[in-house]
Formats: sequence, structure tokens, C-alpha cells
Amino acid sequence: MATVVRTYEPGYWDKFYLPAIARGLLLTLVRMFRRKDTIPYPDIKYVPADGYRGLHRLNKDEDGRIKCVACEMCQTACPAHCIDIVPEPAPWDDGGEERHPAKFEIDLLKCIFCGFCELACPKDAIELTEIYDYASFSRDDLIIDREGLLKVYDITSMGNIYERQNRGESIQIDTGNL
Amino acid sequence: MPLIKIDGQELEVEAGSRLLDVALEAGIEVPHYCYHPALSVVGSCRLCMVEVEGMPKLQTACSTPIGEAPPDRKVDGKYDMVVHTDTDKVVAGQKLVLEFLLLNHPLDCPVCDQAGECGLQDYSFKFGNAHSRFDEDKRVRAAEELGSGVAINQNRCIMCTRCVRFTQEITGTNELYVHGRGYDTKIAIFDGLPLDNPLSGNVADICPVGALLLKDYMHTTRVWHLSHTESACVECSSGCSITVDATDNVVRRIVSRRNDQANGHFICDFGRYSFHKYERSEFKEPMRKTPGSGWEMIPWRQAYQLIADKVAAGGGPGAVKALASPTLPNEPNYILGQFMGRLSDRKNIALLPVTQLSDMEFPGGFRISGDKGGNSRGARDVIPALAASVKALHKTDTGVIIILDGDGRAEMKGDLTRLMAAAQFSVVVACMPSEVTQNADLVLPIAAPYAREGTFTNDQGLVQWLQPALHPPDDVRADWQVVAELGQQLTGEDHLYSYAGDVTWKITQTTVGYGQITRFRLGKLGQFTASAAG
Ligand code: SF4
Ligand code: SF4
Ligand code: SF4
Ligand code: SF4
Ligand code: FES
Repeated sequence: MATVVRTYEPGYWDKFYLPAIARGLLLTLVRMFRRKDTIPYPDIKYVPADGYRGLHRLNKDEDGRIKCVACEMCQTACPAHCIDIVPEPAPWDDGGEERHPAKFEIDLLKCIFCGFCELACPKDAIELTEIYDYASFSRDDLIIDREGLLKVYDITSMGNIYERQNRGESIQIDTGNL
Repeated sequence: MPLIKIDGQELEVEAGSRLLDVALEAGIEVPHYCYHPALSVVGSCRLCMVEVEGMPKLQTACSTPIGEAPPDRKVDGKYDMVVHTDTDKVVAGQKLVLEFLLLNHPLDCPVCDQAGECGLQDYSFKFGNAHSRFDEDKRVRAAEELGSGVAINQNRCIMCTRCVRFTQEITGTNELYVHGRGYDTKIAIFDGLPLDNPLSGNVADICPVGALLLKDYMHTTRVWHLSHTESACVECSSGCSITVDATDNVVRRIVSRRNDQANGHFICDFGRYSFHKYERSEFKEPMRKTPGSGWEMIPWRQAYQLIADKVAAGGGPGAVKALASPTLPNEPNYILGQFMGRLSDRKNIALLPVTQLSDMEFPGGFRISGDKGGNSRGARDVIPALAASVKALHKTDTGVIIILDGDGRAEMKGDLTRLMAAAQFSVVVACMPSEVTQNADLVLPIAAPYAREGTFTNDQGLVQWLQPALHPPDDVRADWQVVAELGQQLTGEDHLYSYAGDVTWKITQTTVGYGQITRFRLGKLGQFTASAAG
């Protein structure tokens, strides 16, 4: 079947170009008096919507113990194979679970932020946070370890980190060797 | 023979056989916990219920024998028994039993080492309810240590008593018993009598849930990450079949694998934990002893050249002696026997002496062989011209001596010490340091046991294939390859083997009693040599 291709043929008035310019300038003029859509990042941080899937964190329970029991469900569910967990028996006397991760690493460069790890976790121990700006100068720094993930919990558990930054709190995000 | 029908499938079976066995063999899944083929039947878990026509109540398949019905009572005029495993009544019964078993069960699968191979998970998923109607608080009890190798998580136990029957019937040691009644029932040990018999690890294998746990394996990995390699244990001459479970090229645990030709369902704890021995310090490269009694790494080519030089300087090929290894497979021993025979007319090869204890036998029929060589019988089979003892090699001067030390199980004493002292140069083929390698002049590294491939012959003449579960380090070669290259160096003839199976084939062509053996027929359970079978 033949396809009809319509080409744009400028008319007589179009060839003056002035009406188009005027329309453009009008739009600019209107925009000048409306609320701005852009933000002066990084002076002001963009606040993502709820449910945004950014940097991971490992949650702590009420007593500050790591919630993760190293069941490796997230590792098994992860389609990017970027989680690496080595379990170990937890200390007997801390009253918590009997098992926890000795090593818990996520390769953020491999992660596709699908959130499957969060869905798979039977302990609500891993969560994706709102954090998106964790650039680094080395690949190694973008492999976040257990302590790093717990630190992310510390900085994100008191409310949306970007809202707080915009209010003037200084919160450092650092995935590297913390 | 009784004719029965299970779920529409007609089966002719031996009178007296167990309904559960028959169904399982016919590929019909009947869930069961307390029944274990190696143990007596107690019929306590009530999960294996089936409906038998003519019987008013559900029957436990594990405790129902099949017999001949009198002619006038046969169902449909010909069946002695008609069984259904999937009627509404059975399904409802299974659901109820599983709900009861889970009443006090913690469902802590995320921290449970059994998760992934758990009878409770599997059956709950297939036959159980998604929800429990139990509203009370679950009974919570502390975990306990039962012995040096086994711990129990009391909350997860479903009281199938497999473990108790194991210590009663298989080991005869009776460490475990059922303590208390009703709600307070639990598996316990007597004061001061821990579960420490040489077969204790098996209770964790037979426990259908995650109640009995191997402390050694606890919290190391999850079962679905493991690769399972079906192999044989090489720690003694009983040669039990095992499954080697590994991740990341590290053995995580060894579990038993049923082989009725060698010790049935179980393995002993020496075999179960033996892999830790080889973890410590495997050799990575050929090593030469230097005057300052230190060791120097040298490349393979240089190592072989060194041996050739030493042979030339030490009385020629005629003065070379060798010790074959009862801890290595048949393949390297065979090649050693072949090329040593080519070097001299005299008997120049003997078997390396290893620890000999007396056999340990258990009431259940399990036998731990006292011969810690593992493959002593195989080595004798494949080397026809073996000298009677190490002492016999002393009669003539020794130039270079080649010792296959294998896993370092030889004891450095008596004739062996004297022979090594008398030799001008000693070459030891081994996977890790031992007393023998300390006294060597040159060490050639080979792969550790779980990275090895080849055949092993146990003391009953059962030949099994060793399946490698690990990759050896880069510069380490297979045992048969090292010995074949040594032979090539000494005889000047090229060896024609390209993998272990080549050597196996050669063995079966030339060794008395091994003629009918092939890699294919060995399968997973092995094959007896003709002399053992006859
Ligand atoms: S978000 Fe997806 S890719 Fe990233 S760690 Fe979780 S499961 Fe893996
Ligand atoms: S984060 Fe959750 S799913 Fe991952 S290992 Fe820990 S408890 Fe298991
Ligand atoms: S015994 Fe089975 S069902 Fe119970 S916690 Fe362990 S894996 Fe889960
Ligand atoms: S510990 Fe395991 S084998 Fe022993 S009774 Fe309990 S569930 Fe059965
Ligand atoms: S297996 Fe038959 S009652 Fe337990």
C-alpha cells in the first residue's frame, strides 16, 4: 500500500517569518511571569516523587541492629547479578536474628534499579531511596558495602533527603569506602 | 504376585512390599516425613495417607503392606488393592496434617539452612494450605547443641523421630531420645552424653526439615547457589558415594548419596568434613628444595629437566624406584606401573604405606574401613609388578625415587624414611604439604581430591568415577598428566593420553577384572570388577 507523505509547504505569510517570531516571543513573555519549570540544580535539589527508585539502603530495626538476615533472596532475585552477600552467624547475645551479612555489596554501576531486591526481601531490610546524585571518580567507589548501605539508612530515615537539603541541612552522600 | 492399582496405574508387586515404596517407585508422589528407607517404620507423621478401597479410613502408605486378597474379595475381580492418592479426602487430610505440623513451626525460612531443600517447604507448597487458622502464640524454644558437629533448632522440629531411630538402629549409640510428652515433646540428649559418634552428621541429612543443622555448614551459603557434583569419598577404602556441594570453587559441604553397593544411605564424619584438610595450603607450582632448606618455585619444563639430569647422574633409569599411591585414582598409578616396568626388569615399585586402623562396624551395617588409603585395592589391581613392601625396594641402590604422595596420608617412618634417605634425589607428587613432601628434593603439584578425575576401587572391588567439583589453580596439573609426563621424560616415549578417560580406557583394556568397565556403565553408582562380582 502506498503511503501518502505530506510535506510542509510554507504559505505566503509564512515566508515573512515575523508572525512566527512574534508568537515565540509572546510565549517567552508569558513564561517570564509564570512559576519556573527549571531549578538551579545543584543549589536547589530536585525532589523526586514518592516511590522513586534510587540508591539502596539497608534498614535497621528499633534497636539499631541491621535488619538483613542475609537470606540472599535479593541476590537471587536480582536480574543484574549485582548483589554479593556473604552470610555469617550473628552475635548470640544481641537479641536479634541468628544470621546477618558479613559482606553485603551492591555494584551500583551494574544495578538497573528495578527494585526487585526490595520486593523479594522477606524482612523489609533493603529499600531503594530517593537518592540519585552519587557520582564518583572511581568504579570502586560505586560498589557500596554493608556499612555504606547502613549509612544511607541513617541519612534517609529522617525524611526526604533532598527536601532537607533544600531547607539548608547539609547531608553528605558518599558511596565510597565509608 | 499381588496386582494392585494406584491412581489408575496397574502394578504387579511382590507380596509384602510397602505401599509407599511401590507408589514412589511408580513415580506417584506421596508426601512423607517419618518414613526413611533405611529406618524402621513408625507411622507417626500421618502425612503419607492414601485412600484404599474397602477401608473406611485413610491409611498411612508407609505402614501398609501389600498382600494377596482372597479370590472372592478382589476388587473388580482381579485387583488385590485399589489405592487413590489424590481424592478429595486425601487432599483434605494432607492439608490438615500439614496445618498441624506448622502450628508451632517458626517459618523462619530466611535464616534456615534447610530452605530450598526442605520437606516442609516443598510439601506445604504442593499439598498444604496457604494460611493457618492458629491464633495463639507459637511455642518458642531455644536452640541447643547436641554434639560437636550438630545443633538442633527445637522450634523447627516436626517430631518425625528419624534422628532418634538413626541413633538406635544405624549407629546403635542411642544418644538421642524423645523427651517429654504432648506439647512439651522434644528431641534431647542425655546429660553428658553428646551426639558425637562417627556417623553423627547423617542426622542433619535425614532430618526432613531444618531442625538438625551441621554447625560446620551453618549460615555459609544458601542451597540454591550450590553446584552438586556426584562423586565418591576417597578417605577410606569403603568408598561411599557422596555429593560435593560447592560455590565459587570452594567446597561448602559434603552430603551422603545413596549407593546400596557401598554403605547404603550414609557417610561418616571423617569423609563429611575431610574437605577442610585440603583447603589450607594447596601447592600451586613445582618446587625445588634449595641448599638453605628453603623452597624455590620453578616452571614445569625445568622441573622435568632436573629429574632427567638427576636420573642420568644417579645410576640411570635402572636405579629409579617408585612408590604408587593408595590415595590417588587408578589412572596415575596405572601409568606409573607401566613406565616403571619399562625402566627395569626388577620390581622397582611398591605401594606407599598409609595409616592402617581396624575396621569400624555399626549395628546398621555401616562400615568404616581401617585402610585410610582409599584406593589400595585399585592400585594393586592396576600395577601388576608391585613389590611386596617398601622394604623390598631396599635390595638395590636407589638413584631417583618417585613418590606419589597424593593427599599426604603417608606416615614418615621405618622403611619409607630409610628409602628416602638412601635415594639421591626424591620427587614427590602431592597436592599439599606433608611429612613426605618436607623430605623431598622436588615437589610436583597435583589437583586436590575434589578437583580430581578418575576411577577409584574400594576394598570390595567397586569401581567408582570421581567427578571433579572444583577447578584446580592455574599451574596445577591433573595427577595422571603429571605422572604421564614424568614417564615421557624417563622413557623418552610420548604418552598418548589427552584426558583421564583415555587412561581409564587403557586400564580396562589391560587390567584383569576391569574388562567390562566403561565410563558410561560406571554411571553414578559404579561397577564391581569381575573378580569382585564373581
Ligand atoms: S534494583 Fe534490581 S538490579 Fe538493582 S540491586 Fe535491586 S534487584 Fe538488583
Ligand atoms: S536484604 Fe532482605 S532479601 Fe536481601 S539478604 Fe537481607 S534480608 Fe534477605
Ligand atoms: S524447616 Fe523448612 S519450613 Fe521450617 S524454617 Fe526451615 S526451611 Fe522454612
Ligand atoms: S530433629 Fe529432624 S529428624 Fe529429628 S525428629 Fe525433629 S524433624 Fe525429625
Ligand atoms: S511417612 Fe507414613 S506416617 Fe509418616
